[in-house]
Amino acid sequence: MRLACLCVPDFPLAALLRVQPELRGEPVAVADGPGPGAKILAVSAAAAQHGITAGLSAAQAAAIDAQLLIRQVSPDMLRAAQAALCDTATSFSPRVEDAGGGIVYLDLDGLGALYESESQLANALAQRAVHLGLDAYVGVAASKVAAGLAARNGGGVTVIPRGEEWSFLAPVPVASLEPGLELTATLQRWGIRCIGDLAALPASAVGTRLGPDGMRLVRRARGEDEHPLVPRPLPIHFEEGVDLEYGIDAVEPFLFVLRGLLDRLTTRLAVRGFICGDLRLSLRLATRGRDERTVGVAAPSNDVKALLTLARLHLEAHPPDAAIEALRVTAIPERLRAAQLDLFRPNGPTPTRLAVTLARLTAICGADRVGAPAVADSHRPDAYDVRSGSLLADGLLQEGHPATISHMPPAIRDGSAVIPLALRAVRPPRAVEVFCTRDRPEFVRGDQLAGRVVYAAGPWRVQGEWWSDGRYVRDYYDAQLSDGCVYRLYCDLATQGWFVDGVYD
Amino acid sequence: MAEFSLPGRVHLGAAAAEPIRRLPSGLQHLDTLLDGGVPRGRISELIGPLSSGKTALLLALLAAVTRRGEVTACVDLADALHPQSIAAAGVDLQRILWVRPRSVIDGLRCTELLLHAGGFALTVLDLGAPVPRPLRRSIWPRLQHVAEHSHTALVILAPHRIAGSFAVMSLRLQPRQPLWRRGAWPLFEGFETALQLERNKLGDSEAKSIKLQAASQTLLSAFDLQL
Repeated sequence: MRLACLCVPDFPLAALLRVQPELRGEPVAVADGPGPGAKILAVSAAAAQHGITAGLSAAQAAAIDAQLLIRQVSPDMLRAAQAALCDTATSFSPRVEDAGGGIVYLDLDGLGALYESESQLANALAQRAVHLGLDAYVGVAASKVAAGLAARNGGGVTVIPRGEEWSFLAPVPVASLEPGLELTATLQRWGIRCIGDLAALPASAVGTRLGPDGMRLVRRARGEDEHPLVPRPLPIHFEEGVDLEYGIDAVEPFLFVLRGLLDRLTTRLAVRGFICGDLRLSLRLATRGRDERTVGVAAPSNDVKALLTLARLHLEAHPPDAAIEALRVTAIPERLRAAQLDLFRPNGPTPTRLAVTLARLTAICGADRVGAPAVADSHRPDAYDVRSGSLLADGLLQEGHPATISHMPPAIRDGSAVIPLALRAVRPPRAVEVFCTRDRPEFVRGDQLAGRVVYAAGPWRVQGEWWSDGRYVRDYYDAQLSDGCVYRLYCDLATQGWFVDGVYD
Repeated sequence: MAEFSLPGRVHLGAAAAEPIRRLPSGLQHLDTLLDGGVPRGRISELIGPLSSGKTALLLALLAAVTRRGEVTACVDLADALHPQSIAAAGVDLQRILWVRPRSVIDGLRCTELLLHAGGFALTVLDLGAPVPRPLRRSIWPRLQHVAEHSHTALVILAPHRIAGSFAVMSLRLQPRQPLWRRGAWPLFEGFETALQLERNKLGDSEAKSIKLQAASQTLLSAFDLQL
């Protein structure tokens, strides 16, 4: 069995730099809280050059280097960074164990056919982690302990060939196994400095003297795992969050922050083979309230520009009540359904481009105004429906075999081509004044519409939905006016009002 | 050099133009008039007043295109498409994208986006009546350029000619007379219309016309035509 360990050194700092990449190269320290007494958890290389180390207080670190940038990392940022590391591993193998704290193990069995060597595979893992904003060390070995030690002590990509674990681990300092303080002191007294020295001791003798902890330490020194790899299916959950240092009450700065979150989210989604469906925004407001909202995405897409436009439109339509102090974005992942192409059918729009186009159209017009037309399940003459959900997921607008549709065959009558009559809807129905003689419409007058009724057919009584608030009772007429057009009129018997709801064309 | 000086041996300018593909309407008379159908990658106009049958003709074209499995889009500035009519005309509703912008500017942006997307055989821009303002003339060369690249036929529905010389084809529909079944229970049965090819840059069949009948279901049933 071959295992890989992905290990992110100084994980809190890596989580911070993933969110704020502009801090790379700067002297940065991550503290565990606000105030001068906070403990420094991790420092960047530039800060370490000035002698700042983890364990100092924020005040001590600031005294050493006045230029030092001290930042805190929110639990959201740590969770997102760990999830991104898991996404990296899952994009290679389904057998992944999340060890937490910036460490992930994965099973490499079966991947040999995809990569020429284990080094190439390990390099691909490291590059994928960098793509997701994390500088991870990679170790490949036959056990979790050996892979973990290789990752932590190798400082990059380290592959321990089969059967050579012993020669690799032997010179590694025993402190790498992270024994407790008491055990460390005892081992120092015994003169044991490296793992090879410890592994050479008989386990039963060490157990007699140091107890179960000592036994476990010896086994780990020999590269034996205490627990085998426990792969668990990772939740398909994509969330990124950020705590802001000050409240945002304008759209542009908010979108600037949101862009970063969406960039990271869509990268993670793409790595896992998903595209972004709806977006859930959870905003913590300055009033200590929360604003939860869902931004509908009619056409799932990983196009950040389109998603930002949708979010902008949603925020402008429904602005939050107060300034935003923290933001959490959850993407609902969707799979882009693959379609079988047909050599003998015309090419349709490519799913990716269509998804982006639909997202942009939705951003311009609104989710309810883009979709496939559908006949509503209603007898109301002006009822209609739009399938504006996930058009791609529903298989709409995809090339393929056309549906079997009953249609009128082309016909010729008296030398004329005959086609079905069409109605152009007037939405919403336009109120008009109708003058009647003996209950027959004689004259119609309304906005951009006036004329004598030349000929009319009707009335046809249409009623329905009496069981709901939307009940209707209408008398419909087809009326040709003196302007030459033929309109569909109706009289709403509940209000005695007249309306035009269509014109034949 | 003497050989090259012969007529027909030396060609100046760009390579020979690609033959224009057509979208047949399925109506024999109309396809004959249009030299095979509506040209792809070009702007065409369907013009006429209300009750002239231009929407019925458009739906017949959409039905023919979607029945072949191709995807179409309709930018409906007037918000006038009637799904029941579309379905009755035999259009595959799963192969038409209906976009209802709120303003003319949005409508033109949507049209350009759809043309850019590629893969749509036919994109319709329904301007409604009257044509909304402002409508800049500079938009037509832009749309024509994008349509040419994506090989999408752009059909504009308007009460009068609007795209000027950028439309390679203009079909004018002139209403003749509504058809009524008179009697104790009168019925509207459709109308007759004359279809005239007012402009045709791609062929020689200019200024020809045919007759067209838009018939209601009642009338179609009377013709023994099954919907």
